[in-house]
Amino acid sequence: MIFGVRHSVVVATLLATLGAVVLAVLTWKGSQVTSESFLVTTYIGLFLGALWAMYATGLVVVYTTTGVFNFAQGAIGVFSAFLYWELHVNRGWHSILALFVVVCLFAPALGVTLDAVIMRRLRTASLVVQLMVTVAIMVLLLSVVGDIWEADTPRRVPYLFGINNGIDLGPSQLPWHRLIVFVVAIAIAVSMRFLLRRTRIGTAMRAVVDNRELAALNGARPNVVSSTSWALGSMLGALGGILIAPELGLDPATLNNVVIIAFAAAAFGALRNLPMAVIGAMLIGLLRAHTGAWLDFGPDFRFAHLAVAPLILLFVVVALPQARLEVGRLAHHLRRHERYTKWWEGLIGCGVVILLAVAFSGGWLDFGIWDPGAWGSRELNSANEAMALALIGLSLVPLIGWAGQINFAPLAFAGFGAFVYLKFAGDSGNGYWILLVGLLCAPLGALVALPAARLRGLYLALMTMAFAQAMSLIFFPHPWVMPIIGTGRQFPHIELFGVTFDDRRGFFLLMVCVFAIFVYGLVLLRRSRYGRRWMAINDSQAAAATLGVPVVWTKVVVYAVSASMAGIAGVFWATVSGNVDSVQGFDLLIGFNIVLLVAAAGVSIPMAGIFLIFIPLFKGFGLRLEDAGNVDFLVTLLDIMTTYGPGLMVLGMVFNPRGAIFEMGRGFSPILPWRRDARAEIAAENAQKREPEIGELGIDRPFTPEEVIAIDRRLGILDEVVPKEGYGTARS
Amino acid sequence: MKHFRLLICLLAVFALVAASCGGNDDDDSGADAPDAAPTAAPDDSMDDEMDDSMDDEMDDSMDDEMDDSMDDEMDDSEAEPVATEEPEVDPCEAVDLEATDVGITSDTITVLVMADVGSPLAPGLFQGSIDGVKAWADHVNSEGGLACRQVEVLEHDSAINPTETTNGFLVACEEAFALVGTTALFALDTTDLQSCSDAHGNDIGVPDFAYITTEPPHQCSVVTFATSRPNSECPYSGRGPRAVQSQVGHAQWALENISSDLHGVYLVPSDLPSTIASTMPQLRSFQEIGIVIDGEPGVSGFTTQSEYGAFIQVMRDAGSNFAYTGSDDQSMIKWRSEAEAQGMDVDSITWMCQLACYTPSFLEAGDVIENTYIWLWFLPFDEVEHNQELADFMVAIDDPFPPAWAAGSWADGVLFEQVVNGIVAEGGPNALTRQAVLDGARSLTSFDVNGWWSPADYSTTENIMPCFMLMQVQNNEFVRVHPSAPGELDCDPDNVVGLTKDWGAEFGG
Amino acid sequence: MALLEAEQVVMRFGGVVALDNASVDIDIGEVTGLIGPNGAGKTTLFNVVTGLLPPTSGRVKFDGVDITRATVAKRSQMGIARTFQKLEAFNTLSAFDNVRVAVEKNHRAKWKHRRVGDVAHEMLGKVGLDEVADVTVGTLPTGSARLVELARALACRPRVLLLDEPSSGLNEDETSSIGELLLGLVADEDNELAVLLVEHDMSFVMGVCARIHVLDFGKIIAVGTPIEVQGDSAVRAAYLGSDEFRGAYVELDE
Repeated sequence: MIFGVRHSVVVATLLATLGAVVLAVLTWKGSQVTSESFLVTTYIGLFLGALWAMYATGLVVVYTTTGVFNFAQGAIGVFSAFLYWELHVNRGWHSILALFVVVCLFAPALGVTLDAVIMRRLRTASLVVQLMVTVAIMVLLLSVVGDIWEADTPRRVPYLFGINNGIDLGPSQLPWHRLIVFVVAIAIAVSMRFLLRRTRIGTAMRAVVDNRELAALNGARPNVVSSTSWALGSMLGALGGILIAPELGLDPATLNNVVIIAFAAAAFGALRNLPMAVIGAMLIGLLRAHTGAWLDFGPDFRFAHLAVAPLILLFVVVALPQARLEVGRLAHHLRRHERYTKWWEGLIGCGVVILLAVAFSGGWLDFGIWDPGAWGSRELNSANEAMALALIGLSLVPLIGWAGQINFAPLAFAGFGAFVYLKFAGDSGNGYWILLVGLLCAPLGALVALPAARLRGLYLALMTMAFAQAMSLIFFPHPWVMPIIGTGRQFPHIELFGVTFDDRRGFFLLMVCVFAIFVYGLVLLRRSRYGRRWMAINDSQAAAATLGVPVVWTKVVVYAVSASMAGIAGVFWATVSGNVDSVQGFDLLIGFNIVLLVAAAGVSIPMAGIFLIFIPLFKGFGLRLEDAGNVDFLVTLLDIMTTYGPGLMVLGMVFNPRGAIFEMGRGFSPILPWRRDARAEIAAENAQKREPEIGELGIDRPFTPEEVIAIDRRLGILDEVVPKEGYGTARS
Repeated sequence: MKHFRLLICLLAVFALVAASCGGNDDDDSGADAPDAAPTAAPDDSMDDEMDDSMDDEMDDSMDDEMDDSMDDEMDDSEAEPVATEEPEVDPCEAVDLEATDVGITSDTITVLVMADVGSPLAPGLFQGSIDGVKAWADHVNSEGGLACRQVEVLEHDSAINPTETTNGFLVACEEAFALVGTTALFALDTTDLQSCSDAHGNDIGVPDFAYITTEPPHQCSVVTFATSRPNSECPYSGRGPRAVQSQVGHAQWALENISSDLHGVYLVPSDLPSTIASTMPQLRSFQEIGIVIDGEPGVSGFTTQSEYGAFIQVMRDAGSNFAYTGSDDQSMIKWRSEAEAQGMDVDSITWMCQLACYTPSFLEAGDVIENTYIWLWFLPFDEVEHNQELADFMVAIDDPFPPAWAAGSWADGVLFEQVVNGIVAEGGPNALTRQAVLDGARSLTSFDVNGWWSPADYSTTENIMPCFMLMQVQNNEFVRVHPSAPGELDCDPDNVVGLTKDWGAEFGG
Repeated sequence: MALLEAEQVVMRFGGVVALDNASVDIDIGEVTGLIGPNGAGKTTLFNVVTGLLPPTSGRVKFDGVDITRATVAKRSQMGIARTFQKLEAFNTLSAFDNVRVAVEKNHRAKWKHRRVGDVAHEMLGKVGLDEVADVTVGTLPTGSARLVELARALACRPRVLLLDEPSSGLNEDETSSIGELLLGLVADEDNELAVLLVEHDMSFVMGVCARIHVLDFGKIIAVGTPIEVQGDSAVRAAYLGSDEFRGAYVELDE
């Protein structure tokens, strides 16, 4: 795809090359380039590229054959590497045996299980659900690894093959290990390509993703095919993890982050082109090795050479051709009930939010047997942080919940907002500057979305991830952005309406009010033409376009709105702690967790964002519990909930795509006196049975009369073949 | 989470820091006092103290031991009309114990240990700090308690998270008398720590006996006393030049004993501004004493082993014979493995690392780390026969090779104990208030964990520990090489170099 | 001159030729039919005309202007509206809101003097969906959802209306009322409307279309009035064995 001589490709390539040359000239270290040092750097780059190519191959195979982009690929590698360490190092198994058990038994079993329990059900899910679920698996796998193998001991995985001898290259040598890894990676890529293109199972694998029903009718067994893909992908992830671990050491987060490089490589192959993905991986490896060897970015940009992968991703996104608007996918979309929140319902809701927050934090709620009492400074401190994160999460509601777009960079926008605020109001703490923050963050959101908005949603997700990564590697660590201070607060207390919010309770209530304003703003926005239009492009971009809605522009606007909200939230987020850790504070994983929370709470129903208020409330509540003592099991439960909760909730979407919050809301709404209609709605929905997929029927067993009716209904020909009077008889 | 290792590096850095004794006027006064002077051979006093404590152990009165330790440690603070002459009077019997301040009742003293333990991705990181403080408390309680009361330990998990760290300070303010053994990396906001109220309504903060202090606000907190000395000028704005002292005794030793023409590569842990700021002073100090630096690349947890190839290349081009990592044990393992992988003559190079390499996992790397030098500012764990405090620690911690932060937190406990004992000796067990502890700690000009650690001056943040000892990995064991006699530290005042620079800008990347 | 012309359109997907020099023209005031067996390329032609697919070669002209490279939204603003064979209604929104999205987008250009809600209600009324205006489209029966799409397309106040099997999922009564609606719309000269209709229901097609294009394997094999087309031997061959066509034929013969 990417080979076609297209303007965008040429322009992007020229710009990238030009940029690279300028950068190289500006940052040239001045060390001597000898043929030997060049050779060594090159083979190091190729070796690193080979490792990433292995991950990328797994990604591409799974994506090509199942249509699911697996964010958990790196986490599978992490888990496998730890398991390998456990067997080989800790239990002393022979390396070959351990390798066999992990790569050939454990990994395929994990892949098949993931497929059977989760992935298979994702096939018809929306992109948001697909991505969120794989991200949830990633977070869960990493949490499990952290729980099993505690971090207080550093671990090392030895090299598989000898590292200390190899081919002599003058004064240095090329160790066998690296040569073998390189050859194996290339061999795997070639054989996967062969498998997909030249074998029967491969053809079936590719056919199934394009048209499952048709492939099934032609005799392919979709479930076998997808299980095979996941087993293969998982094996490649495991092998990659075990081979990368000796290079990096066994640290879950570090190892997992490697996968971002693989994402960039896969994107280089337009996610489906295996050879190009491998070339992409090699390119990133070479760029990284050579920038590390010859360029010096100085202390202010000390992580810049790590940003090669996100920049490649950006390049790819700019170079890719505009995606076609897809039609005919709608049948698979989730069916949702939607009703407007009336303006007065919104007011009531916001009022309830404020009251709840005040009551909780003020200790007005007496639970009978146990009176929690008013929150102390510690509860308020934690609740403030959670409140700020909830505000950031709220910014994702129009984006994920309404427009169905993904943004992994909410923290990056929040951080940018904090940065803008610091520059304008860093001395005074004047809260009116927050409005300017909102204004300045909007164009940034638009800018990030612009290159990717014309592509499929997955690229937008990857693009925002690359943006978040680039910001945390290049922008935030720069000392000018958020200068460290020796004492006191970087971010002064906010002053609004002549009041300085310098005590925690006051600040908490301020944020609750901002939360309520955000929520009410969302209610109004949802009722507006923009809200409708965003919902519309989520349902069908093609249809929206044929009505004259400029789809790309509409998406860009949603991102701008979301970034603006996130930026404002970021001011509060930074002010809570007063000092922001400019390196660790913007870790991608924290962003993932926020997105997961919002997805779990609000992906299916726009106003579910309001439930985010419970995160700070429960946070303070949990701390109170802890202080009260005698409720250890509750505290443990809360601990487990905070560690695994968001991930598990999102996994729940596999089985109930509307999410737990939706069901809760639906369960409660009939209680509201003015929502009698809700009861009828639930009854009507329960009466609807799940309609079987056409492809699931008739392959292995004959149709039953009920299924014939079901199929006819699906095909829209029920009335034509079954006379109305015959309905009952055919059914019974 | 990618930075945990860095912290270890930080520890190392602090170790580096542990260098200064001379240099500064305040320190001189301390150094003049005979007992506080670097004890190159503390064996004698050790023996005495050991004997005393042995004798007294079964006694229900602990005044002897207390007095003795007072004598040893507090002499220099001149005014000590201590009741040395009336050993038979038990101060605990003589008074009705009162709840004199937050966290103190008539029979307990509550301290809070805060450490980064529970992050979803790295549970258990600094669990050793909590274990260390608990072991210390058990030890103290088993010997009759502190200030006539039993020590109770509260735990708080700062979870590698600034908010949880602030929460720990808040909890300490409300519920504990003092923080002991703080091992939190992200103490970014110490406002509450320094300003919360005591039981008497004074906003004086809560005493914080920390092991490490990574961020400037924590380093310069007026209520924080770190056993791993920050060795840096305070107050500090966060930007611009800062006076820092560095321990270079080990490098000096290498210049004198290995080669007078040392030149090589120094790896800078570059993940966090704080790791850079705390590493660069030592690097520049190395240059100050005559080591030529061929390269000073930054490394992080994301640096793959093969990327160390670039550093090897630099060494090869320059013909380096010296290699020092300011980062952690894993960086040294990767570096040396890569050197071997590239067929380098590793034996011609002096590889050197600090406390971060003093771990069992470093030895697990096997042959590849053979001959690496490691320096410490305290006696290594296997020299229990030469120091009673170390022996007590090793028995109490019940771990053949405990993590360094367990030792550091134990040292915090001992520091707290010594300050408290000083107050009790002077004003009785009801004189114990946060203010008294702060005053006592601020006037402590020499503390050496009863001979286990290099002595340090707590009256200034700039002062560092002047002593060190050097080990080398030989046949996969840590073997002492300098000073050669077990139980000794090298306390030459020349071990410390003081420089003032803008350290953040010093790093070239 | 025809209002909409597709000239010599070729559309290739890899090795498959979906449209092979297909030319179609439709005029104001008429319902033009586009028929052909399954897979003949009818929907592909719709996609090319509305801009969802860029043709491999050939041109699309609207009102004499070449719009081959115009964006989907641009064409919509010029007056091209459509419905979809596989439903593309906004399932999350109510029927009323589905139409409202369309009215709002075209309000300034085409419905200036009327309130958005009024127009939306009128459009829903035209297709007989007043009663389910507040129901989420995702829960409506397939046939009704198709009518929502039709109302939505009408709300764009199109000059060219492309309908892809509007009668599927509807019963006979509903189908015939749709036919009447279409004929009424094109007959109203104020509308200046041209309709292109893809249908499998032959009696419906033959009943409302003034002219019919027959597409087979991507090629136009016949153009003419319903009577002419039915008599065309190529058409008969293409539809050989197809019950739907034979049935329609028989029906018309009667």
